[in-house]
Amino acid sequence: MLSNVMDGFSVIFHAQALVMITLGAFLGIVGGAIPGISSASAVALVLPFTFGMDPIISIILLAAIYTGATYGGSITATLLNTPGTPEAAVMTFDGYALTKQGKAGKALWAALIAGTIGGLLGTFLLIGASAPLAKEALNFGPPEYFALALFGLTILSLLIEGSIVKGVISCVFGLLVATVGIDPITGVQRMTFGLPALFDGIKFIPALIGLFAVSEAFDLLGNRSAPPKVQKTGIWSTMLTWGELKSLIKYILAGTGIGIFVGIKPGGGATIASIISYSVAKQMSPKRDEFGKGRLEGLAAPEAADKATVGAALIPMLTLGLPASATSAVLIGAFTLHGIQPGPNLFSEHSDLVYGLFASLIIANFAVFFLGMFGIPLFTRISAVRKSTLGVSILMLTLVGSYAYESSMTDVWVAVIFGIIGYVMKRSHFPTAPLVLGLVLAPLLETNFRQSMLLSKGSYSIFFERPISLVLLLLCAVSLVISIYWSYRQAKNQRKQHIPTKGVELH
Amino acid sequence: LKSKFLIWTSILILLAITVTGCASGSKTSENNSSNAGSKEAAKLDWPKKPITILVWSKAGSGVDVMGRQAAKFLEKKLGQPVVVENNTGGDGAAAMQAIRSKPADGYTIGVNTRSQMISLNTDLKNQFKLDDFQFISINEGDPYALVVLPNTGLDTLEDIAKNAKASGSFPIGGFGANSAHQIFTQDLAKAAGFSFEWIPYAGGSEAVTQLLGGHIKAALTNVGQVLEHVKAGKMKIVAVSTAKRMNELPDTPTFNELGFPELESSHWRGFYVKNGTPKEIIAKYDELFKELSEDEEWKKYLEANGLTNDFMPSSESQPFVQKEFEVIGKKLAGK
Repeated sequence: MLSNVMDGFSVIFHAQALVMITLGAFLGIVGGAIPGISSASAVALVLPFTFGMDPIISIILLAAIYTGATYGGSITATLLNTPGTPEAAVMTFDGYALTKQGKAGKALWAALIAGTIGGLLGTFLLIGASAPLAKEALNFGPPEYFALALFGLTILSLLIEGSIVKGVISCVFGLLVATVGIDPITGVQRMTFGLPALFDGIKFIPALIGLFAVSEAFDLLGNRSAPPKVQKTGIWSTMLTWGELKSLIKYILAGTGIGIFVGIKPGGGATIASIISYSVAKQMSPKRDEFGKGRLEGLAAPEAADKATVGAALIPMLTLGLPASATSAVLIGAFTLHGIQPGPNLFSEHSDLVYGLFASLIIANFAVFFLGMFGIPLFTRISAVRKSTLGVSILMLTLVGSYAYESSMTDVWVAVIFGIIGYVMKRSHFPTAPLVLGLVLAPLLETNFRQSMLLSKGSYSIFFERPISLVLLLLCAVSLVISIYWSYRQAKNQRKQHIPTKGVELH
Repeated sequence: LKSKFLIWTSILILLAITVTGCASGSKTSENNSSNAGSKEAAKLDWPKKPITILVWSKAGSGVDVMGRQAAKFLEKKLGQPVVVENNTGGDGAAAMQAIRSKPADGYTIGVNTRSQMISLNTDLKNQFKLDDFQFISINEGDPYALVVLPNTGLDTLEDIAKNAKASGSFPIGGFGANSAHQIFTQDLAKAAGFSFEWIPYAGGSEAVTQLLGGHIKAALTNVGQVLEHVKAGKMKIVAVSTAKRMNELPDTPTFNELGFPELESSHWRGFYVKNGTPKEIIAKYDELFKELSEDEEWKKYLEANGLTNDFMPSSESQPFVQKEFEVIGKKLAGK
């Protein structure tokens, strides 16, 4: 095993490979930072350029882009409140709050360190345990995916800020919008008005761009206030202190664990992993009430989870030839184009390629770390720019990005319409994150529920007879109870604080 | 400070535009080869500009891989860039619309498959007519395979029929609702006399994953998708839909052998152009695709992906597609 990895390093330790990894990490960060270019579309956009390359070089370039894009998405989420990738949506909560406090550098450091640790641990797991874990990828059937998606939905209640009712309305609206398109089970058109543009439904990437980025741009365009003073902009001056770092470690490890567990399941996905790890971090933290107001844990856990899914998603791809994420599906296409068939024989037939890929992932994580580190002073200056200037730039980037997603004008219109919806929602204090998460989770919920019903011939017992699905459903119940308990305690605390002030007033 | 930011933003935008622009733009580096044009091309003086292949599904899909493989060959032969663009959306409507809106000059060609015969019969019935296009070739066949797990006692169609009867349920998974795969499974079940539940998945590979995990009893997918698993002994193909046994699978029977010649079919893929494209240009494509079917690299690609070399020139593919359209229309209506 170790000697194989060493061979892998020898495959990639030459100038061309190292340049490609760095280039890939750079392109990934830039692509990921542009709303609309998710890691899957960043890899798909570069794919055509790699046909002429050596297969190993092309695969490591694409893997480095995948690694870079997951960090890139968090940069814009933190600095501009516009997540570059869907999995970075939860990074806006605490990241943007920190930016508004002038602590953007610190936020980026926390994300970078957490992401690098998560990414490296995910890669080590991929190297050391992909064979035994391959089976783990298969034990999720439709009932388990349904329970996982339901868990993602119930856990939403733990992370909604402000009015719970408004949060639920926003989420249900997301679920409703997701029903547009061709029914995945019967093939019947739903709310498409016969328009082919709506056959695939409202795609969540352009909707996400609209809700977060376009609406933020509208907001910025009308903002004439002076930019906040950026406290520190150097690389090292914004570095986390040892104490901060130590306090983050357990959140990073928790996030990594969740990222690996969810990421390894085909169809699980980085977005669910980052939502769950944010909620778990919130439960773990003694400063629960400050979440959403700029806690570093709220950045570290989801970022670590996000990066850990990269390595985890490659496990079923390399061992079984099965895609666990949209990005690994594109990577499988890349393998096929080079005449390599991913499948159970990949390790024995192309071991140089597999171990070269492992080694390159390790290097790519470091490349992202150093590029990200030197980028911090540069990125953080964005927050010193006048708001209206920023608004125009974001608007341009997002419209280009939503077109780039699938070269379709429909997506641009979706982004604009959801931009207006998002703007109205923000003005009336409806949270937009539950809408996006509803939109992401709805297809998973619906398809897997109905597939389960087909499998069980309409009996609900299928969800309770299977151990994993039962455990996940119990977790749903637990998270509901916890959220009810917390809101009860919060209400009680407020009452307690309220009474003495009233008493003072009476005197 | 502000100007620096502006510079960086414009760099980012430029990068975004270059990346997207180039992906759909031209690849000029690879086509300096001198073998531009045979005699006909000299007479025809075509192509004078780059050719675009429109693919209606995402990068990395079966249709996409075929388009790119063919593009490599065409580029070499024509001495003009051949660009592959993924024009996804609307079940192929976006790509078909793009082809219909361009001049009928053979510079924009599309890849189509059996799946499009279904959407043209159903969702896109009002938007497009078969006559809007000319189907100029069939280039490959992707045979259907009924796949099970090994050592589950489901080795033959009789085993499956028995199991389905005894247990009262036999879930078979595969790509899509009302898909070509579902229609094939319905035909198969009718012929072999068993009942089943169709579990639709977003892609064939998802069905394969679910089968490996034991969540469904069988999958109806394409040979290429499971070839590696079969070689590794993790899956077993009950039968394939080819006319003769496949070279890669000498021990796997065909449905034909098992007494169901009516099931002989494949998930074919070919090219189409806008109707009214000049005969000379179609003749040129006929010649090129004939050469492609004999190309060594192409044959290697087909073999590695479990595909069959079912080449048909325009004279055969046009009536073939017409017939497929009608047959599938009847099957969808008769359900």
